[in-house]
Amino acid sequence: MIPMSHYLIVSSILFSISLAGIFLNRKNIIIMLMSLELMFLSINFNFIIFGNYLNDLTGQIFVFFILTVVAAESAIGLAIIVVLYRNRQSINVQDIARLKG
Amino acid sequence: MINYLYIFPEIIITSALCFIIVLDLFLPSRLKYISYYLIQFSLIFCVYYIYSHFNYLDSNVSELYNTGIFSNIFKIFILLSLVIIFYYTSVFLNYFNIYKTEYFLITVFGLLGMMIMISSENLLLLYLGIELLSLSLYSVIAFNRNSLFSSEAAVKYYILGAISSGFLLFGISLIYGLTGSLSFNEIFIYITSLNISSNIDSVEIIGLLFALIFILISLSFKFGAAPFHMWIPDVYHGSIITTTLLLSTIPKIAVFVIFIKLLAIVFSGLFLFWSDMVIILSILSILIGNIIAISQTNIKRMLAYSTIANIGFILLGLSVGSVIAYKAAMFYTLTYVITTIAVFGLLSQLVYKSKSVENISDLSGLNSSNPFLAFLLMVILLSYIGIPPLLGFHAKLFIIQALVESNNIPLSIFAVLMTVIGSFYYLRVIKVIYFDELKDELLITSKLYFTGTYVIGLMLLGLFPDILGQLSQYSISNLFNA
Repeated sequence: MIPMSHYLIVSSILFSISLAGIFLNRKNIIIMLMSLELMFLSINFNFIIFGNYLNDLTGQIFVFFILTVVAAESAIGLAIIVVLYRNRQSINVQDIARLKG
Repeated sequence: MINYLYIFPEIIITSALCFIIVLDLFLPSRLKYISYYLIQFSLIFCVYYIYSHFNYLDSNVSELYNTGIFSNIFKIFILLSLVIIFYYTSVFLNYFNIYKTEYFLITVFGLLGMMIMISSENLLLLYLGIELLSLSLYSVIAFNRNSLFSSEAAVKYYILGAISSGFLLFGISLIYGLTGSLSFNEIFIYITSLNISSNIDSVEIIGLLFALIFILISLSFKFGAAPFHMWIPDVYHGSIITTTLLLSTIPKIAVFVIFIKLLAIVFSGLFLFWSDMVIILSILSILIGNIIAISQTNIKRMLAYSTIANIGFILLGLSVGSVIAYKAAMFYTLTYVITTIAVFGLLSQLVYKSKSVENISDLSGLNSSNPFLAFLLMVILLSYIGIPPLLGFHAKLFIIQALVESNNIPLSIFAVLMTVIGSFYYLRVIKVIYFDELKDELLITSKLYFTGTYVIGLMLLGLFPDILGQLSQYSISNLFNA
């Protein structure tokens, strides 16, 4: 049987990859959204492992809540990006720098 | 058996929302004001319900949803603030012809999220409340969809907000894995049962600290404390001024409640660790907020940095960890919110060259064109600085008093010094109002009766600080006895 720490390491690596994807990415906002999705999936992974380990259903139920909320969140995110594209004609990360002071 | 009467305020809000969304579709545009009044009425009815059933709601013993006195006082405060904010918003939107009922409806969804946050006794419920609040704020910021600034601010807030909810969830998942529970009470019992001083290197303590750091990062992001403050100036600057008014006031109350519940109760066993973290956050916030605000020319940006500095003061109060200090922090939060509603509400009523006020120089010579308005603005700014008879003075005094009582003299000296530095940028605005040449006359979108009464109320609250003081005393002592 695989020990739990292995699973946790995998989920932490996924979490770090997604964070790096957000902060190192200098191109496209869509890629940022994908990284965010990856981040929430790694957290779901965490919850499932802990739920399984503790023999407790709460973890699994929490995963369903996260999945629904994240779906709503990406819908709003895509809508905001559409609004930005209409105003700016671009969704490059470098172009979002009008607000400064 | 679930007793639905305990969550009746939330049910009122939800059903009113569903009803008004449908009703608004069938209203011709000249009758749209009906839905605005219906929203206001349901908010006030909700306040009335909570107020008249104060003791009944307190008898709720649910492990999931707390409707005790502490939560109810904050709920009433948030609802009343929202009524005032909606008044200013409707005046503003009508004047600039961008009125849409959806703005109010989405905000009320956010209100629902805040009520859930305040009442939550469970990490799952806390997460859902925070998400409901942030999702509605994302869309409210992007409300002015023809403005490039608005959409840019919305994208920034969206990306950073989603990262911070990710951090919160990661922390929650670690706590769940360690304690096997999501309930505040069980986590509290688990932490107090650990013997922290003897096995400081054990897996449990390190895991809990890890989770605590993740949750603290996420919450200080939502609060706007310093290393995580990047979004505040941009979002305040980018969105329309009434959205700034909304963003800078009531979400802060809700996050403050979460802060005090999580740190002072659930994680009270880890006080040794989190008090240092909160002190660092507060010192950085006060420094960055007060110093960067000096170089700002845009008034919304300047007030955004002043928000960061004020948040730093609230955190300074929280870091002490005594009941008096929590009381002082609550007093400061209420003061901050009351003053901020006044300043942004007043600014939202000013029109400069058929746009809303943006730069500090737009206000120059306000005294010669409208002395009453200039006086009101001066009173509010003096209250921010903390000039004695006004409310801001008592707020700062209580925080510093709590610091001195815990023998933390260096920090209290730091707080006093930073208050002096902070007064510079407020005084500069007063100088611009009173001593600079009049450029273009400022127009007012509506009569100043309401703002005038509100500011006079602010002055009275400053003369009788016991009103807010006893309120904070009452609610904090209820929080710790319950």
